[in-house]
Amino acid sequence: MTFIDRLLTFLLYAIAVVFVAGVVHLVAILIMPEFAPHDAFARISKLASTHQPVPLPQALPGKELTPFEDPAVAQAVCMFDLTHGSLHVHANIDPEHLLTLSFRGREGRVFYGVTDRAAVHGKIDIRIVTPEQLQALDAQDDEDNPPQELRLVAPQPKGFVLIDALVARPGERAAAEARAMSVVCAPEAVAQN
Amino acid sequence: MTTFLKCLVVVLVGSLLGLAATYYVLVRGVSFDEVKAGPWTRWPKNGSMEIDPYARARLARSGQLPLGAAEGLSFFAWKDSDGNTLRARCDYTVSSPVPPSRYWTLSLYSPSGSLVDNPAKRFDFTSAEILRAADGTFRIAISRHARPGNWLPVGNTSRFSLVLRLYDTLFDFGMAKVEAKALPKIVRGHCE
Repeated sequence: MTFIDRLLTFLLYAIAVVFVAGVVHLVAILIMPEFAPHDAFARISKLASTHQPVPLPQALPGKELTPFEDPAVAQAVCMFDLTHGSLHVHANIDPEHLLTLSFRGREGRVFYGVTDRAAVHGKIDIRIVTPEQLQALDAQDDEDNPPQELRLVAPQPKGFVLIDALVARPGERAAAEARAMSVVCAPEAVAQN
Repeated sequence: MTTFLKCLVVVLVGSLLGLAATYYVLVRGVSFDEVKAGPWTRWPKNGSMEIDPYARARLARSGQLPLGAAEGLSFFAWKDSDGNTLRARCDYTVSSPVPPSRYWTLSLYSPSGSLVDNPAKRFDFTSAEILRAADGTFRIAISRHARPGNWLPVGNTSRFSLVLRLYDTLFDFGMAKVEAKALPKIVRGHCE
């Protein structure tokens, strides 16, 4: 074997190592959100299992649920699993106080968000559906009487709705917690034709 | 047989390198949509469906819940306006302006995002409770020792970070650059 032969063989193996490393790196980055054991979904699942809103504990030193939690908000969460039907999220809004809702998939992406400013006639009325459920619902709609609800297609069947109510002043925490918990999350079956 | 062994070594070394690169990227915080303005950093796509796979992996690892894009914006600072690391043994002043928004909050954390316990049990200020001068401007004193006015205490930590959250912003900043002069300055004072 000449020197050039050895060099070429070495280069070939080096390229193979870099290729394998690149593939492993990309796969690890891409599957991370699905398999991370301590992501936000996993942490929230330990506290909440039902579609009913569950209050999240107040952010205090040593008792935070997630890093960089805003201590000035009262939070509640509704889990959803659309395999058994859609989730209807509705709330009566008090326009004086900040309330925000964010709709998140199992892998953590925020697919929709609203604040109380988006309320129509003092109400927020949203239904989270799968693409199939959306089709079935649209087919059932009465054309003369269009539905008032906003229909959101979730990117994944599982996820959660995070409800944030701002505690603008220290004495307002109980009221903010009550506002966060006043959001109603109800599963509703969709009749498939 | 030797070829098989060599292939095995290639796969093993490649996998280790790939995992090491992943770990490095996640710890180091490589990001494709980091926007800096003065001492503040934000990741505009973190609260939307357009978040890149690296940012998603990093959030999945840390467990952080970013604010949804429609809810508000968050700005993170680990350094002061002169570029020096925020240290608990120094005093700092955070002063207006804040971009127009319905509410804002300023919170103090350890560099990795845990709240820092302090005897005053104050971890943040909201725009509703802050004391302002007659012209509407404000100053927040960050110190280990009690200060008059808006005092954000630093507990038992050596370094810290600040997060400014703007809820229900009046402007849709999108990817647009928020200029440093529109954001609060973090000025270092006396150090122990």
